[in-house]
Amino acid sequence: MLIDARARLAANPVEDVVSRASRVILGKEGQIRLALACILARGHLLIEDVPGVGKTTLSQALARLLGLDYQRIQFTSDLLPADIIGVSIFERESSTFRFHPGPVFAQIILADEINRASPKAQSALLEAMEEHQVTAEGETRALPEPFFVIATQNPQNQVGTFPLPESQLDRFLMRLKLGYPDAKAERELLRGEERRDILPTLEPAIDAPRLMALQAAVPQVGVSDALLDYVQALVAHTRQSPKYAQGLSPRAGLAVLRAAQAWAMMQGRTQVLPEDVQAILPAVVGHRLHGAGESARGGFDAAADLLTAVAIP
Amino acid sequence: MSAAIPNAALDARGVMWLLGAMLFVVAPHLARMPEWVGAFFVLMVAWRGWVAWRALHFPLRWVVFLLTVAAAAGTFLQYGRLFGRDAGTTLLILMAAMKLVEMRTSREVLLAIHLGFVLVMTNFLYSQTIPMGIYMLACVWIFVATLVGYQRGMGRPATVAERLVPAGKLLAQALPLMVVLFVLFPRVTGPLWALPQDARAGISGLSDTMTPGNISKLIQSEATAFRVEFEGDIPAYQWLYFRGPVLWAFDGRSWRMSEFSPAAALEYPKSERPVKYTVTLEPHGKHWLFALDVPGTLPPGVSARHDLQLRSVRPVDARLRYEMTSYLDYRFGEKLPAGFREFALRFNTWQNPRTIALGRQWAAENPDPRRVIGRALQYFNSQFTYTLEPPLLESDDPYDEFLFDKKRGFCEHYAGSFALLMRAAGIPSRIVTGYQGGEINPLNRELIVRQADAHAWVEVWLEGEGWVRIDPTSAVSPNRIDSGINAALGPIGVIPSLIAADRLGILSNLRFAWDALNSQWNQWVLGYNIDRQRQFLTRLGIDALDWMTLALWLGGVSFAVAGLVSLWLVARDLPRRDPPAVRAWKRYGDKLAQAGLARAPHEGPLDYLARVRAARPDLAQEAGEITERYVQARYGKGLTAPEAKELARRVRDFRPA
Repeated sequence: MLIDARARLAANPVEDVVSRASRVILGKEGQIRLALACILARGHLLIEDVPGVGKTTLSQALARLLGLDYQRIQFTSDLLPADIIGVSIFERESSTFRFHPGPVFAQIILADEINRASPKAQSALLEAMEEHQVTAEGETRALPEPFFVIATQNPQNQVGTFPLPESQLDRFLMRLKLGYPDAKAERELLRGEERRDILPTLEPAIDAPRLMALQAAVPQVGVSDALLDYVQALVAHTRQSPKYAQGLSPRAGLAVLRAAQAWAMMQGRTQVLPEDVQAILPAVVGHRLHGAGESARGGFDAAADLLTAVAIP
Repeated sequence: MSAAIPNAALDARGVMWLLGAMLFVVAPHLARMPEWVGAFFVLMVAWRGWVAWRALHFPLRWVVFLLTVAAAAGTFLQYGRLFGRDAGTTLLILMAAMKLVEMRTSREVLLAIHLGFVLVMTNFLYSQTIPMGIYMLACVWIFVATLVGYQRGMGRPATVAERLVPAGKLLAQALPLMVVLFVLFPRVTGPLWALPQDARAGISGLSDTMTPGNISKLIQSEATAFRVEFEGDIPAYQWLYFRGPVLWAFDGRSWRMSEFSPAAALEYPKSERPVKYTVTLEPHGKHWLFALDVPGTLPPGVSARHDLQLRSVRPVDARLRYEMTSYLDYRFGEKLPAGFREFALRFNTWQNPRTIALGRQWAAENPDPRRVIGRALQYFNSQFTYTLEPPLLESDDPYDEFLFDKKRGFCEHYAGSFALLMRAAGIPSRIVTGYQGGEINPLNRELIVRQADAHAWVEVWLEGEGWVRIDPTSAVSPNRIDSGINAALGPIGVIPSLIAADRLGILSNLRFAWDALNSQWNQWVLGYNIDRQRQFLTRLGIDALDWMTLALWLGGVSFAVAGLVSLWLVARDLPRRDPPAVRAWKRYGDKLAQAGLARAPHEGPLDYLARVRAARPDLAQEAGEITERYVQARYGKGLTAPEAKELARRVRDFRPA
């Protein structure tokens, strides 16, 4: 019942989203699933990869399939907070200031190349992510629900980037790498029609209220003591092992658990299994872990090491 | 007050804690010691506390030296020596105070703490009651807590709970060992806590003289004289005369015990109504023992004098337990040798002339001695008042003054004047002192005889009847004899209004319960001497107890107890046994490992199952069943007992190899 649940999930709307998105982003079903788990766990997503692998296409496809409205903000080094949040403009007819909401007032925000902007502009978005509200000219305005940010960034070693500090990286539930498509997918990509042309034809598989209901169901997924033992063992290992410069924070532990619950739910399970934790672990802890010492292995490698280093209790 | 070494090394809170512990343990001593000792101790502790608190410099060494010499000199001047219980304890307290003052290093703190443990023991030289035991247990706890705080070393000072809780656990762990040591440690004859020289000091009780009129206020002492357990019913109050010293010699004012008093065999022409009982006598430092009239048996090491007074060879320095048989209906001393007869009639004719005249007048009026006795009792009954606060009798003729002027007194007055009247009337008489009555504890049916029950009565010798007990006090206050001193005067030692309010008897029941508890404490803790030990161990089936055997037992049992406690501690920290599902799962993994499909430690059950299914399609069904159940047990809602059994059975029957 816990094991072979996916077979019964043909009608699951989440599966529907996955299969339709896979027709647009070829060969990236795993990343699509992780991105969905991230949304269901009410987390924000960071995609780190070189340009042109489909980051924008993925976020646009998700927005359409989930029936959410979508805004894209291209981060540049001269971007100002007002360009994100919005600005009040004096209107001559009514002789009053009227607030013109910025692109942040949408359900899915694609923050493209977030590490190209100055820290000031970065923090304006990151505060909105944390608080689910923005404060402009002394007035606090709530952001729409659901509110979900997909940020992309170029690899840190590229020229002209402002790396996100660790405290801000911590606000993203997951960090994904899309990676190059495999040969078969690439051939299909080359042969087929322009991906961006397919996007407008995508019909929503789900709407905002149903998505929020699914989000509300995530914390109900059962977590046994044995599983908590496993999560704690993972977290404790990062704190004790000399291989890591810094251990995982309690918030990180909580993030692992939430994402694992969302993953388990997507698998059609009512209980979280160690496999669920393992499935989301690299994406959740990759951007929070840094190796220590000369042969420091960061990110995804450190997370993979963690998986094999800790036995399931 | 300035010296080279600042006291930064010692943590001020640790020092304060130690000072508090020291005050706590010395507090019971302060009331017993001369005032200057207490003042000196408190002053030194306060000084040390001030030094620690303000982080001042330590006192100069020569100041400390002079104070130490002065303290020792003061002790010597006070007691005339430096040893013995009082002088030794005083010296120890003073030197402990000086140690606190000069304490600079943590090694000295450790020494002071151990000094505190010795001070705990000195308290038992003075008092061995249950409250003192509890108080000293608290002291030990506090000192262990001090030690715990001290051993913490550097860093944040320990909080109160961080000191007391581990100390309490340590004590609790030591408890079994303490019981073993107490039960098995080889005993020497003699009391548990006593120094030979001081044991008799200040213990009140009966004396070997009686001088009516020189005490104006009899202090009603609640102290227990002895306890009696009767076999069978307790005789009525008017039979409870416990015989003590018998006073023959009279000098016109005082009655004394006679020096010459040959031993006698306990043979009576008439001895009926025997009662058997066991007396637990509190130490009183004298030779005499107490028994109901008339004693029929003698405890070992005890002889009876011809006036039936029981004397032990050694003074009663420790609580003594002895079994007795007495005959309540008796006749003795029918033949009175001339020498004793003359002795029992002796008085000085020039003292108390009016008393002597009255006695002679009664003798002249009544030829029958019994009539004289009746006349005298009637005289007391008609005109006299029983009181514990009689006027002093200061004239040279105290009995005249009492009989004809003051007419107020207690048993000594009545017994003394009655005996003199009898001697004047030519009837041989003597004073018997001892205890009369007592209080029955309804909880354990034990008779408690207190110092307040001390009594004096008269024995007269009658032709053909021998010595006959006459209690003139009963003629004055019959209540005193029938129901005890409490009925005559009201309860003693308790606030009267409280007694009045205590209609339900809660207070008196509490008092009885407390007394019963004390009795057990005395018998089994304080009175656990070599005999009791032997008796107790025999009951446990351990025989042939020379001290070598005991020492072996002690070592063995101590080792066993310490071992058990350690085992428990080790077992407590061992990892818990896995739940059944996990054990089954491990066994399943082991079996597959033998078939070449070992589970990686980090491999989840589903991944493992997938791998097993891929490698061994023949096992797919069974592996799925097992994994399904394990996952349910471990990560799902758990398994019911039959389901868990099913899992274990399937794993047992699983044959991958």
